[in-house]
Amino acid sequence: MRIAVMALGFIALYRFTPPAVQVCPFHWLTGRPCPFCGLTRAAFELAKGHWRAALGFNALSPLAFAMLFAAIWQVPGRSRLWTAGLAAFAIYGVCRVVLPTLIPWRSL
Amino acid sequence: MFCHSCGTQVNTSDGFCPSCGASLAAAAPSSPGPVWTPRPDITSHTGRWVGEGWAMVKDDLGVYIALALVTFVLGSMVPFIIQGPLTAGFFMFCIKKTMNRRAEFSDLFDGFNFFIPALLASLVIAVFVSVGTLFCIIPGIVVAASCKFTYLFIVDKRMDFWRAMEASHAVVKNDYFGFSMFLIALTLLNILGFICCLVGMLVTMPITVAAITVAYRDIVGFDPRNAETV
Repeated sequence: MRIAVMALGFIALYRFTPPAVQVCPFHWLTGRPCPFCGLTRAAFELAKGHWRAALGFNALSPLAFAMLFAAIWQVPGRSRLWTAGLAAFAIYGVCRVVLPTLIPWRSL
Repeated sequence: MFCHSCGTQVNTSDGFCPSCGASLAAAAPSSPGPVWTPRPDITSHTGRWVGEGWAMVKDDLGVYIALALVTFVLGSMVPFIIQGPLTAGFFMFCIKKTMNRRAEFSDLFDGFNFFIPALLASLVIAVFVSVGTLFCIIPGIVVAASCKFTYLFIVDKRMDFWRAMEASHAVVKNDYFGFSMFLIALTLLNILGFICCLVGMLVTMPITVAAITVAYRDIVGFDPRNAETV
């Protein structure tokens, strides 16, 4: 069942690319991407093998999908992965908000 | 704290419960509050729980619709403050139904016995979920899923609101993905009800509460000491 759903999901990610819709309230309020912004777009790119584009949307997207798979398959040690991963996302989020103000030409 | 006999909220300094007269001295040694540790093998069974919730609601459709109507009307008249206690009362009704005990319409207002913890829980959950939603929506869904059993822990295990939230999180922690899917399924159901001219929500909202109660019964189990008192 889970495998079937995931296979269907993968095919959908591989076949289609939706238009970029702005849903994140954080981005809407502050004009800066939140730590999780770009994960959906990254998923569509990653399924097509465009890992460079995926990293461009969200540099931690591979980590996010590793965390998601660990949660779905109930991999032992997932809680440690999640703690470390969430800490990484927190740092990434701060960098995303702060760095563009320090280095104007660079956006994460 | 709460009277261990009837569940009424009482002052810690009281010697006897003002509502039922039971001595509170016996309950005092357990004052740190009940602690509950979850089994490690908990997983979500969305389909079964929603199905059982629907079966429960279907059997007493009229009462559930009336309960939902009163909850909506009162909740919209007095925003924020009574939302939590009313939800707690709705869960009490569903607990009685799941235990095959006599449940009455007035159980809805017994939620006010847990006024303070239910109110605090509703406010804190609202804040947490809003902050989670702020970051690309999905964290908000996971947070909401983690808090799903809070009211049941308050009502059934007589927990303080924060302890109840921790216990709820301890349950959901074992299967974040499954419980988030459970919540999304319930949300979709409610959206479906909302689309049906709002009236559908009078049915879908009780199904939501009933399904969560059934899930709690399967995962945690009701406190047998509360059988006569809840």
